[in-house]
Amino acid sequence: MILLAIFLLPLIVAFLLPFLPRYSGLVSLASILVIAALTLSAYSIGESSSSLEDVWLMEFKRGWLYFALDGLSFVLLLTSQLLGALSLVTVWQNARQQMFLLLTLSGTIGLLLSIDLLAFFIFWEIMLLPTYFWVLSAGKEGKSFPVLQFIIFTQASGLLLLGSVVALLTLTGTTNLNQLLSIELSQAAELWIASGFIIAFLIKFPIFPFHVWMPSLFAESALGAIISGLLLKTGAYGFLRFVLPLFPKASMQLSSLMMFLGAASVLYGALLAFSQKNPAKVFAYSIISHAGLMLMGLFSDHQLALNGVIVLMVTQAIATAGFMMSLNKHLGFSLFFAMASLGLPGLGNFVGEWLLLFGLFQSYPQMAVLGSLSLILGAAYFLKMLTQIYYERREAMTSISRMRFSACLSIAVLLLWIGLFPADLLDLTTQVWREDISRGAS
Amino acid sequence: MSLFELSILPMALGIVLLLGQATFFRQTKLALAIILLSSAVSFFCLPDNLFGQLVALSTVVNALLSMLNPPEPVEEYGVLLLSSSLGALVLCQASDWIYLFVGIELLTLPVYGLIAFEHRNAQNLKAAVKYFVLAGLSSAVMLLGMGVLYAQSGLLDLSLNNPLGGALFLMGVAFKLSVAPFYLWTPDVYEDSPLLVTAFLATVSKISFASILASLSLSLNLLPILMLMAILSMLVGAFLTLKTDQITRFLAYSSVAHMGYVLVAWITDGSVLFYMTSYVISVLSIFAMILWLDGEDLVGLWGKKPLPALFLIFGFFSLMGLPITPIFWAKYRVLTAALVGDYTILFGTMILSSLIAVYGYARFITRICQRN
Repeated sequence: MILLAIFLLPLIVAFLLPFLPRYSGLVSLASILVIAALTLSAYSIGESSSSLEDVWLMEFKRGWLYFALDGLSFVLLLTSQLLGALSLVTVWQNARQQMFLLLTLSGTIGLLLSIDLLAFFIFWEIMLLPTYFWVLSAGKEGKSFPVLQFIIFTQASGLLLLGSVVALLTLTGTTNLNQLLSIELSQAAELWIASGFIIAFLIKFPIFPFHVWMPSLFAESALGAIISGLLLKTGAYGFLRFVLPLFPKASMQLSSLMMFLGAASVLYGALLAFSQKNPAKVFAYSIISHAGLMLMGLFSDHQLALNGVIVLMVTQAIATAGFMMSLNKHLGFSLFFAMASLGLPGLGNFVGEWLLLFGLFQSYPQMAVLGSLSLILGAAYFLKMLTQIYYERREAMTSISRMRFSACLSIAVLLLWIGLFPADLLDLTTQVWREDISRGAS
Repeated sequence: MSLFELSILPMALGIVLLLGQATFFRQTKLALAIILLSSAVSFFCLPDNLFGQLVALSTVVNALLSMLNPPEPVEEYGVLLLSSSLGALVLCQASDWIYLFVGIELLTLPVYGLIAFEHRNAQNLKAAVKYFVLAGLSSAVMLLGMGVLYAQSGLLDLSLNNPLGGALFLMGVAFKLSVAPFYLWTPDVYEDSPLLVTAFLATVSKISFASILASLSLSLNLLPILMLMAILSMLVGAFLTLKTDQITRFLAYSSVAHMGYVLVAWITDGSVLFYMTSYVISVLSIFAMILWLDGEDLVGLWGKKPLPALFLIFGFFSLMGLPITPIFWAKYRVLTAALVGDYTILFGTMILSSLIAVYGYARFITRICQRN
């Protein structure tokens, strides 16, 4: 029931917001805090009550709506709630955008909790709806092209996913992950179905040939950046939750192709980021570059690299959100978050990248060399961007509001904390890895 | 009185009443009430025929829509509408070729009159002539097919045991359903007919012809032709939706694609009824809103009138097949059935065609949401 409440509360509050125009900001913030508290309590209750044989810490089941919580979804749930609370700060005055934000958050939560593939697919599509409408209503006149691109790419991803889910259903007779894990598919079937899943997730990740929709959407505005932070994480999550455990053979078979795509994405993203003038686009392409790195980590078949992917997912999302919030408002913070994103030791992203490359080197040393280029190139384009913004163009700085300042401060503290004491987060993610990913691989 | 007679009684009564009313005293509101009431009552007289109920419901919606802007003179309009729906009801319950053909003719003949109802409008007349010639031709082909089937078996029951007769008959049905390659009349007739009649053509006529499909059992030697038609229809419809900006033409092309999915549903046993129901819900919500808006520009509608915009967006998203809209569940069932029956080509084409059509639907949605 707690899980259902975590999903439903933002949904209900979102529809109440139009009736509370005055207190909309406070109400939405309160609802996000409440669901964060509920998530924490669900995790602690589950941890204390479940035994070692239990796969999930907590479950909720009604037909195809099958929610379950484990370490992986716990970490990502908290991150998306944090991102939600942060982006609330940027739209504090605008009840309509807060509504879209809460709806997206609710969709993301539903997606992260879903263990049934049909439910996962439904949330995968539905969580995009508020984004369509949000970008459409916020977009400037005559700028419908990025949205159209976005709709087409995400629908393509959705249809591929639908096709694969249906294929899996007809082959195995179930869409429930628990049952699917115990069923072995034939090599060919696994390869076909896995390719559908993989392309669907690559589109949202986004990885090099499928990334086209992302930079223009990202550049629309700061909230777009944060929302796409919510959306983008779901791609990597899909790999961790479904592709690697369900299709171990196909993952092995496709791993060299994925390595190639990942490396291409790292280099392509970095080169394009270097040539961009708009800082939002620099970040967009840096996300593509890092996504390539994460993809290499996911298919490296090494525990350390997978831990690195999870840490990088969390830290990259919050560092990007922090940068977009402080851009042109506070030099110190934007420098700090850019440094975090380029992987300065002592900050969160460094831990993730280091673990990832370390794990990758064990199984694919050449690829790790290519991947580590992303650190050098990252430094190059981020520093170039900062010089351009603050020394060459000297755009007028607007003063930072107290709320934004405290939000930035909290992100900075969090990044420092993960960077200096990574063990706290790693304990959680190691547990994640042991709990379910190994289950599929073994 | 048999169940069949009972089921067509309300509409027949409605027709008689309207004729009497047209002779003795004309009153618009009363006539509208008669149309609405007789179609609503006939819904309850069809206890176990779901296609028939769907026809009755669509007629009710059509009657409601005609209240927005009643066509003059409304009694004659009602007579034509009800007799066409009556034909659809006969068609849905037909148990042999004779009933079937009578139903088809009763369904299509009044539609010519409906399309040309405002006979001074050159556009409507053009559409009526086009539909008349082509639909007449298709009825003739269909009749020839029935004749061949009868000559072969000597029986009047609905079965497609002769490939030639079956193919001819299905060609006629495909024409009426606007399945490729027999779809060419659809965009022109949809565009040039009055919107009310287009809504009728897109729902009642399609439902009843789909019900013929559902009541026939598939014969294996026709399978290749049917699969080819379904694949062509899905692809052609999807590609053509990309081209057009005019909303009724767009809906015509989209119907070509959707009738392709219906064919897949029939081939694979994936519930034609369920697909038609969800299709009719989506299409009617779009037609109702266009009629309600009365020619207002769709660009920026979301900012001006959120409620009709919401229904339109729902309709488009449903036609697109977005999850938890009706057509999504129908498509999900058809896709599952296609894979279970090992029709991988149909499965793949269906996904491809939905993917291509996304751009068409998304364009209308972005236009509705645009700010200006």
